This record gives sequence, C-alpha cells and structure tokens, in this order.
Amino acid sequence: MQVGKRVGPKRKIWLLSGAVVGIAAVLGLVVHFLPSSGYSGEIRGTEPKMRLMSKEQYINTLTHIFGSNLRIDARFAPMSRKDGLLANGAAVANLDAGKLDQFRRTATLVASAVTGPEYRDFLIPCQPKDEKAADAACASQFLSSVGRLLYRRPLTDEQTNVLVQVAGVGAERLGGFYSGLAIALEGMLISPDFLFISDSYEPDPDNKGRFRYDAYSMAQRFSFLLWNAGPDDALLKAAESGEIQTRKGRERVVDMMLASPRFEVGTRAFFDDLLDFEVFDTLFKDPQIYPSITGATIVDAREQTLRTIVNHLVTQKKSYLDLYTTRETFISPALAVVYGAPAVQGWTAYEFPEDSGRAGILTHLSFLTSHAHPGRSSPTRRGKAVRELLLCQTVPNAPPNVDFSALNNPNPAHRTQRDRVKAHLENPVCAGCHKIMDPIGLTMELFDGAGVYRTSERGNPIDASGDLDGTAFKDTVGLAQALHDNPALPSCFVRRMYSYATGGPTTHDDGPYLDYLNKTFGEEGYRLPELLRTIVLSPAFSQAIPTEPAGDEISEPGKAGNLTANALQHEGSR
Amino acid sequence: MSNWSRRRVLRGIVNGGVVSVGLPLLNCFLNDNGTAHADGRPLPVRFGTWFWGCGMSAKVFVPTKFGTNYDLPEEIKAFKPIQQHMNMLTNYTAFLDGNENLCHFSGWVATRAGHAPKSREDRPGETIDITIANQIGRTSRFKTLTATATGEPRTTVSYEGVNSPTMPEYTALHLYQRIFGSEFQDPNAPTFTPSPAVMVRKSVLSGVMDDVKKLNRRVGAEDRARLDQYFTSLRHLEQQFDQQLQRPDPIAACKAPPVIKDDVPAGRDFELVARRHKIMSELMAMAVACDQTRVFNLAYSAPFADTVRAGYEKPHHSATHEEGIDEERGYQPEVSWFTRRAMDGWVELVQAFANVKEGDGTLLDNCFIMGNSDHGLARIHSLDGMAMFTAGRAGGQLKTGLHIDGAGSPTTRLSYTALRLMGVNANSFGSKSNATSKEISEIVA
Amino acid sequence: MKTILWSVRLGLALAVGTVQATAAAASSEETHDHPVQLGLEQGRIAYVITARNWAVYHRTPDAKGECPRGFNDGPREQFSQLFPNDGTKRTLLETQLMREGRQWFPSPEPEPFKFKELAGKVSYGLNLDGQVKDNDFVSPQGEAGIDNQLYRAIGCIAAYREHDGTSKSSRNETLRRYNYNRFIIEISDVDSLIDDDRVTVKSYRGLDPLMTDASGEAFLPGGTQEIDERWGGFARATWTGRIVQGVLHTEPADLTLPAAGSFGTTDNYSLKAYRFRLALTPEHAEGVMAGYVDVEEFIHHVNMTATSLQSYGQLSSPSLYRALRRFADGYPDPTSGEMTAISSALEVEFVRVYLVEPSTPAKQSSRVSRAH
Repeated sequence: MQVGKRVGPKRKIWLLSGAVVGIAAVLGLVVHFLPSSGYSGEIRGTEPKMRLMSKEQYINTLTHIFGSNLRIDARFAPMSRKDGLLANGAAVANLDAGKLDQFRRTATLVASAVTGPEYRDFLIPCQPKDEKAADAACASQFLSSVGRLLYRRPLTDEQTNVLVQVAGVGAERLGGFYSGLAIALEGMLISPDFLFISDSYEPDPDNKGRFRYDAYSMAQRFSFLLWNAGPDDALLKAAESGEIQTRKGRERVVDMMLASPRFEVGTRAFFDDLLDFEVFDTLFKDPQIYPSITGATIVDAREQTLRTIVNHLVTQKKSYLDLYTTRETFISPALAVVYGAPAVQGWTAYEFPEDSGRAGILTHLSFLTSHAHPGRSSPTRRGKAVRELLLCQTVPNAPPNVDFSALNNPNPAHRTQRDRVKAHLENPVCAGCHKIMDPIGLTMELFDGAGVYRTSERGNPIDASGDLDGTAFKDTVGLAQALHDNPALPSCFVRRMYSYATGGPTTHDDGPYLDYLNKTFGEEGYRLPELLRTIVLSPAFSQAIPTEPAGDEISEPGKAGNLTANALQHEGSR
Repeated sequence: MSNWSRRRVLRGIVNGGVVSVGLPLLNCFLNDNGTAHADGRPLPVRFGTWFWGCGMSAKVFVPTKFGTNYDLPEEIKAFKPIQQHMNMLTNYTAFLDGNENLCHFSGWVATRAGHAPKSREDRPGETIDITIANQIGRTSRFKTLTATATGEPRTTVSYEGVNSPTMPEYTALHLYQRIFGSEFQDPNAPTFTPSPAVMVRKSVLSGVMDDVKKLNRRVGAEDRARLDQYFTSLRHLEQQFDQQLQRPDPIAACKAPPVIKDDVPAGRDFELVARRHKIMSELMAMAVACDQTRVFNLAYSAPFADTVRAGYEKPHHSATHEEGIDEERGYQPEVSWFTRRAMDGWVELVQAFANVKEGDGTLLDNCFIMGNSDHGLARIHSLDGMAMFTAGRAGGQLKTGLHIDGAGSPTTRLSYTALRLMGVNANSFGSKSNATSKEISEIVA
Repeated sequence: MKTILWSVRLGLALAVGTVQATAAAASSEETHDHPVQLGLEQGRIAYVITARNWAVYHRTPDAKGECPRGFNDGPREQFSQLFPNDGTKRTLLETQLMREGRQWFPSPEPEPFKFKELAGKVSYGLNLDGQVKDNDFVSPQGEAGIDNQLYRAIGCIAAYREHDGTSKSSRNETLRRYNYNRFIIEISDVDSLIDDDRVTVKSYRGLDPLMTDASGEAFLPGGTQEIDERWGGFARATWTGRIVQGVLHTEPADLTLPAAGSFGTTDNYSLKAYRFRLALTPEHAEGVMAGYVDVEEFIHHVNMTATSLQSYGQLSSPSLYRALRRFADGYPDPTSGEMTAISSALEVEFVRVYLVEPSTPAKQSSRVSRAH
C-alpha cells in the first residue's frame, strides 16, 4: 500500500505553501509549525482530552499485545453519542462503580489467560527460577515491557516497583509466580493510565508561549485515530527518540501507519461510528414478515458496507463521494439471497447490476434494514439518517401532541407509504421537518424493510420521485447522484473526521480551518488517507490549548466533597 | 526497590486481612415495625424500581374506585394476585416548566431526577435510586444492581451523574454471573476462608489510586471531576473487597438460585423479553434476599418501548402512534396488548419478592419497590394522568392495597416518599413545579 | 401433494415465496410482493433438493385404512419372538450375531414372521410401464396404473410413515446436514415455466449448504450451488421433457442419486428409468420422481442407516428384503428371470438456486471444510 504517496495537486499546494511560509517569514508574521499544510490562517490546536477507552480499542490494544488468540468477552457501557459520534462521548464518559466493576472483571479474565499455562510461554519473555515463588527480575521484565504498551509510555521506576512488589507478594500469598503476575497485570488493566487516553502537553519550543502535545501523547493520538488501538513498539520508539516531534519523523510515522493493515481497522472503526452501525448489535427483523433476514444476514450486512468502504477508500484510494454512487461491492451467500444474485461461500467481489436500483452504500442492506422498522420500511427514519449522519443536519424532535394514526393502514385510499406519510406534509406541525426527511425516504421506498428491491407496494406502483435540497430525482440512483453532488456531504465528513480525530465536537472557532480542510479534501479528490494525513500532520492536531493554566498542586481526588469519610481515612500515601 | 512502596503494599495486605469495616447502623435497620433475622439482627429495608415504557390507556387501566378493594380494569386484570401487596397511584403529573416535551424522556427524568430536562443532551444527573443507594447501599456487595429485560445495553433509567448512565446487565446469564458467579459468597456456607486473591487484589488498588492522583494533576477541571468519580469507584471496589474478606452473617432467606448456563437468545420479541424478565426478577429477589444489594433497578421495556410480537409489524412504541383507536372499545387494542404484557411483568416481579420468606413475613414486606413509566397516554405523549405503583411494605412503613388519586400533583411525590422512607435526609425533592415536600401520605403507615 | 397454483407469466416481477406472502398478508401493514427477479436466465433454471422421501400415501391419519392389521414388527420385536426370555441358554453367535449376519447376507427364504403388507389401493407414483395391471395402484387424483410396489413393502413400516417416521425425519435431517446430498436439477431450453413442449433436464451434485430462512426451518430460494465434481460426475444425467400447465414431465433416464445418511456415511441410490413430475414456480419445484430402484441397493442403504432408527422405526431389514424380493416388478435377471428392481416413487421438494460451474478442486475442498 502506498497511502502516503503524494498526488499531483498536493505537490503543487506544498510548493505554494512553501512560498507562503517564505513570504511570511520575510514579513515577520507568526506562522506556526506548518508542515505540508497550505493553510495560512490561525491554527488553534485543540483542548487536551481524557478519553475513556472504548470496547473496541480495549480489545484491539490487548490483542495487538497478547495476540488474537486471546478471546476477550468485554461488555463495557456504551458511550453516549455527542455531535454525531460515539467517539466524542468517550471524552466525557465517567467511570462509575458499575463500569469499573466491568473493567475489573474483564481484567481478571485477561490476566488469567495471559499468565495461564496455555499462553505464558509465548507471552512472558522470561521464566521464573522457581514457578512456586516470586521472581522480581522476571516480573520486572514482563511488567515493564507490557506496561509500556498498556500505558503507552514507559513506566516510572516507582510504578514498576509497586507492580513488582504486588507480583511478589501475590506470588507468596497465592503460591506461585504466575498468580502474582496476574494480579499485577490486573492492576494495570484498571489503572487510569491504561483506561483513560489522556493528552499531556508541554511548552512548544518552536512557538513561544504555546503548547504542544508531548511525544507520547502524539503517539497515542495517531494510533487511536488511525488504528483504533494503542501504539505499537515502533511508534513508541519514535516517541522515545523524539522523532515524532520532528516534521520529517512525523511524516514517516504517519505514512508507516497509513500503510499498515491496522489502518483498515481504524477506518472501519470510524465508519462504524459515523454510520451508527452500533444498531446492528441489537437489530431485529420480524422473522415472519422478513424470513430472508437471518442472523447471518444482519452480521454480513454490516460487514458488506465496511468491506466496501475499506476497499474503496483505503485499497483503491477512491473518492469519498463515489462511495455513494459506486455499484462495486462484496457479497456473501446470506446477502446474495436478498440481493437476488449468485454467490459462492465466503466474500466475493460483486457489482450491482445497472437495473438493480442500487448505487452506493445507502442502497446496501445495512442502511436499508437498520433505518427501518422490524416489520416494515420507514421513509422517515431513512430520510432522517441521511440528514443527520451524512449531512450533519439536525432534525428536530417530533412534536409531542400529534396523532399519527393517519399513518395507519385501514384507510384503503392509502395505497403506498407515500399516501400515508402525506399526512405529515398536510399537517403544518409535522410538515416543517418531514419536508426535509420524507422526499429522501420516499425514494428509498423502492426497498422494503428487508432491503429488497420492489417497484410496487401491495400491488400499487411506487412513486419514487424525490428531492434533495432542490435537486429532483426519480429513483435511488438519482438520489445517490444528488447526494454525491451535495456540498454538505464532504463538508459533513470533514467535520466528523476532524471531530473524531481531535476527540470532541467542533466549535465555531474551528470554522476557518474546517473550510481549509474542505478545500484541500476536494482538491485531493476526496481521498480519505490524504484527508487524514493533512489533519494529523497539521498543528491543529499537535498543538494543545490548555483548558486552564498547567498548575502543580490542584485539588486531589479524594479531597472533593463527594467522597465519604471512609474514603478519606484511607489517604496518607503522601 | 524502595522500602516505602513495599511498606505500603504490605499495609494493603494487612488491612485486607485484619481490619474490618464496621457495618453502620442506619435508621432503617432499627425500624420498630421491621422484623428481625433469626439471630435478632434487624432486617434491612431495601429499595427497587421498575420501569415500563409507553404508559397506558387510562380508560382500561385506572380503577374507578379509590381506597381499598379497588376494581381492576382489563389492562391491569393481572394484578389480582398482588393487589394486596401494592398500591395504584394514578393521576399524577410530570411538569415541563416551559421546556420542550421531549417525548419518552421528560416524563421519567422529571419523576426520577426531579426536573424537566431542557434537551436530550441534558442528561438527568443523579436519579433517586442512586441517592438512595448512597444512603443504604454502602454495606452490601453491590451498591446497586441494574438490569433490563430488553436485551439492549442502552436501556437504563438510572443515572449516577450527568454523563454516567448506569450500565444495565442486559442478559439473564450475565446478571446471574454478576451476582451468583464465582465471586458470590454464600452467607450460609458452612465454612469461610478469606480469599488470598482478594487480599492481594485489594493491595493493588492503592497503586491505582496513586495513578489517579498523578493523572489528576495534569487535567482540566471537568476531567478532574471525572477522575474524582473514578476515585470514588475505586473506593467502592475497595469496600467490596473488604466485605469479601469478612465472613458474611448467615441469612436464612438466602438460597442461591440454580446455575444458569444458557442465555435467553437476544431479541425484542415479547416472549424473549418475558423470559428474560422472569429470570431477572427472580435473580433480583434473591440478590436482595442474600444482601448482595439493597437497591436495584429493573426495566421491562425502554422509554421508547420497542417490544415486538412476531407477525405484527409495529413495535409497541410505533403502535402507540400509528394504531387507530378501536371505536367500540375506545382504546388502541394492540397497544393495550403490549401494555398488558408489561403489567404481567410487574406482577411477576412483585411475586418473585413475595415468594421469598424472610423473618416472620416475606422479602417483599421489607422492600419498597416503585414502578413508573415515561408517559400517561403515549399516543399523545401526555405527561399528566400518569400512573405509578408501589409494592411492598418497606418494613411496615407503607400501607398497601390502596388506589390513590394524585389529583394532578407531581410524580416526584412518589420519589420523595421513597427518599424519606429510605432515610435520605431531604426536606424536598425536585425543582420548580416538580419540587415537592409532600409525601404521598395516604400510603405511609 | 399440494397443487401449486401458478399463473404468473414469466418475466414479470414474481413473488419470492408463498410462505412469505401469506405471513405478510396475515399482518395488517405491508404485504411483501417481493419483486426479486427470479426469472429464467437464458432459458435456464436450477433447483436444489430440500426434501426427498419414499412416497407413502396416508389415507387415514391412524393408518387403519391402509394397514388394518397394524404396523410391522421391528428388530426388537422379532428378536424377542425368536429368543424369548425363557431361561434357555444361548450364545452371542446364535443370537445377536446371527441376526446381524441376516441383515448383511439376507436370503429370499419364505418369510418366517407375519409380514403386514400395504392393503390400500391408492398410491402416489407414476404409471411406469404404460399399462394398467391388477396389482397397480390408483393415484389420489384417480389415475390408474400407478406402479409403486415399494409402497406395498414399506407402507406399513412405521419408519416410513408421516408421523414418528424415524427414517423419514432422519433422512430429511441428513439431507439438510450433509452437503454431499445436494442434488440439483437444471432445466434448460425453457421458453416458459407454464407450457413448453420441449425442455432438457440435467442433474448435478452441488457443494454448498442450503440457505435456511429466519425461522431456521424453511429454505430460501435464490441461494447458490457450485457444481461438485471432485469425485467425478456420477450424479450427472440428462432427461428430455415438457412443461404442461406448470408441471414438468420427463422421459425416463437412469440416475445415481447421492444419499449420505447417518453420520455422513456417503451412499448413493442407483435409480433406473427415473422420471420427474414436478410443479414448477420460479422459486420452488415440488412433486414426484418415479422409476425402479435396485432391491439389493435399497437394502444396503437401509443397513447403512443407524440401527437405532431401525429399532425405533420397527424396520426389520431381513423382512423388508424378502418383501422387496416378493414384490419386485422390474429388470429381470437375464439368467434367472427373477426381478431385481422394484417400482418406486420419491416425494421431492426443491428450492430455486443459482448454479455455478465448478472452481478448482482445491478451492472446493477448502470451501467444503468451512461449510461443514
């Protein structure tokens, strides 16, 4: 893979920006560390975040360290969705007693698997002199090397000492080296240094008065964004040597990361969040009404779209916009039955026929089934999803006191969904919102709640004409093209990606930089790796805006009001 | 290796092994009306909540008679066997105070957190189950247990704080494992050996707390509040370990349920929900009987109740909006069908508690279980005419068998009653129109 | 046998399945006139078998009508008749091993037990020889001359009956479970599935699992089967035929039908002069296959099935063998003149599939190991 390879227009921009830097320097303007960015406006940087690790990040990180044989049955609390992304919820998520209990129990399982007889010889780099007793040297070797990967920075001597002590005492009490080691590993897995991905910053030597993220923070910002997992050894080395704080080094690291197969995992994670694929965990289709939608169909539907996205954006490096019109995809036997196509076992490349009514990922089963009811389609849900997930528009809540029963079927004059939802448009209370949802969703009525193509509903022909912000179309292929051409599609994507990368909702102040990103995204052919490269190499990603002066002695946890006397009584380590 | 850290580690071990944390004697322990364990220890009073989504149809739900021996209209016919154990509270209101009616959200937030939310982003903050758990839940193994029969991890009507929804157990198997899995200590076991693993685990916590403190110095104010909560959680874990290291007092009512190996399949069909709900009700009752928790939450359905019945294409919530009203019967028959299934669930829960003998009576006698919903009539998202229940006698503090007319007063009165009876020292609950300092005195003994 | 009403012209949007349409109609909202285009592709349509059973006509639910003396005894009952628990000392060789030997080396000696043959006159099947003879059956629709002497032999054996038919349920279970059993027919040269005076039917063995629906019970049309010829094309055969009012009729042809049974033991039936009569829709085919089955092979297949099925299904292999020999009515031995095959009919159901030409054997092997 050659993700980082420059394309034509990019090179031009770089030359241009070089010129800008030069002129700026002559004029004595302050231009911050602007590597390959052509942006000459004020770069704000971002506020440091403290993000709770997601379930996927937890699993990815541990399987990268301990191997994919490690089966982790993690059931952590879901994040809340903020400004369109679950990832934003991670930066405000709390760790209450119930959640900590989940992490603790998972930690116990992981630690016992890692130190258990099946894997220990592969995962622990040394053997104790006596299995029945403590061995500080071997414990120290294991705990410091694993700790560095878990905490994403080297352990302090003190941290290592405490863990080795725990392992030692554990070995004495529990009758064996490995039992003690397991307890120490458990401790690491509930430490904030592991569970919270927290940004640290330092004064920026290149920009007086400003702050930048420290090298280890940069390493984890890169890796959780691009790989959805903690940094590996190579990345930590780049942080340790300081290479990651140089322009060249950073480029090398980012290009290495974009070329890694783990970038696919990162891409999947982002789109899983963006497209709200979490719903597939609990998606239900009525087996009597939709017998062709089985458990396998639901699993494969999510996979189909993610596979298509990875192939289109990462492998083939094609335009993000074309994702909404491309007929190229992959199918499995479970999907093929619904799509009405042959497919041998496994996943095979497939192109929707021209007359299939399908174009782009919105006509995949994933979108069509998840934004529908268990037993029928839903023009409103589909329209709302396009507006909110893909165009970053907010559809207001439904008004409370509305009688929807006109949507019900007994009225024989209502032959199709279009007739039924017409009631929305005739009622002025509803019309405001439904006017922006229904004309999209009604076109998608060409697919029933199971995502099967149809041209009639109960024998009545479906009028699939619709409209998206002034562009009229007559079917889903037309809708796909209109979406492809809608300027809100790429700008929404840029906004979500920037927000995902920096860990929080965008603000008004980010506007100019987002405009710049939009422009370059377009100039570079709406390519995902290029966009990510631009973002992560920009000062916006590496500069920190402290939320308050970096003080030394701020209040300590345990001193705040909501702690019990019992808790305070335990203080005294300082 | 510094001596300092070795000392500390050892101290952790010693603390775990020897120092015992005395059980505080809370008021509710000493209630005059309560009965006692066989050995004379008083029985604690426990608190639980139950939730069902999408309200009810008043016409076939609200009894026409008030006071004792009220009638059971068809939607609550199932209450017959538990009528004497419970109270029907109807005609209460959740006030919006000028905020938007956030469908299926404002109603339960107002009831359980005491204020009408401004937006969906305005997460509830602390709900009363947590307030009560902080009062009475500190000595049990779990401060609180939350489960949902919907099978979906996002169904919760309990919030520890603004960004802390209480994570529910959403499968029967996992709820079983959480309570009665390998870490369960049967209070009636003939022998007790403190687990050395727990002792060592406990010693790890001080190192983790140090890590929290260090991180605390690097983050902003909002994140410090989050670390604070983390710290509190670690403290709770420490207490949990402490407790595991002490021999539990025998509890006659506690009988560990049979091992559950197979889970109820995932899915929203009412039959699956009912199976899950039944197991969860029984597990909760036994968790309370065995003093694993003194506070619990169980949800039959979510606020946007999406229970389905195979072959009927609308989930419960969609049906409330889209099903026509049967003119003869005067209500939505399919919606009512879903409501009745929820009411079956309530009966099941109450019976699960009533079936456990405790002291001279039943476990239910020593509990206060409240049930509520998100709306009155869900079809129009009404927040007036809301119905709620209580079950149990709270150790003799509650009368039962009554139907009370709330006369439009705030739903928070039930929450306030619960807070008071559970010993939370509060003069009022809720804000603005949802503020109340009036218990539902008719049901207080 | 159900008659499938079928009146939609090809090329139109066609319903995916009657089951689906019925279920949806029962609910009030959306009917699912699924327009998945499962039409012909270049005059071809393929189906994979999903059920096959030796045709047993059930005139009355309790079988009293066709089996007035009840069902036959099975191995257990015969064993206790032969060796009553009367204190006699017997060796293993004289008892169990002797019975086992009889099963594998059967003899056409006179039947020592009372064999209860089928007493009814009505049977599924086809008129194979074009004649109407005395011991022929009449079809449920009244067609005379039905040749199905196998039914006479198995009609009063519990294992083959509709309810509690151990052999029957096991056959369907194994048919579904083992991919070896994917028997596919492809009809080509089709202009219309309603009426076509000349079509060609070819058979193959397929490689892939059947696609079940969300209930796990029914089969979905539109799955894919890749032709499996890793062990030769033994299941290949060709018929000529015609379609009359939506029903396929073919001329006879010999056929090797894959029939892996208990524990996946691979086995085949050599079927002689077999022909089809199948009601066709773009999603399903249903009806009978009829012709002659070799007696020795039939009993070999019985012996290859789990003995528990024979015991619980009261199926005595030696008695059945003798009955088959008595009733055999086709393919006389050129020297002895004794009939070697028996007229028979299989009730069959098929579901529509896409047929894919075989890929490399290595690829196929890897797929099979995953599919199991």
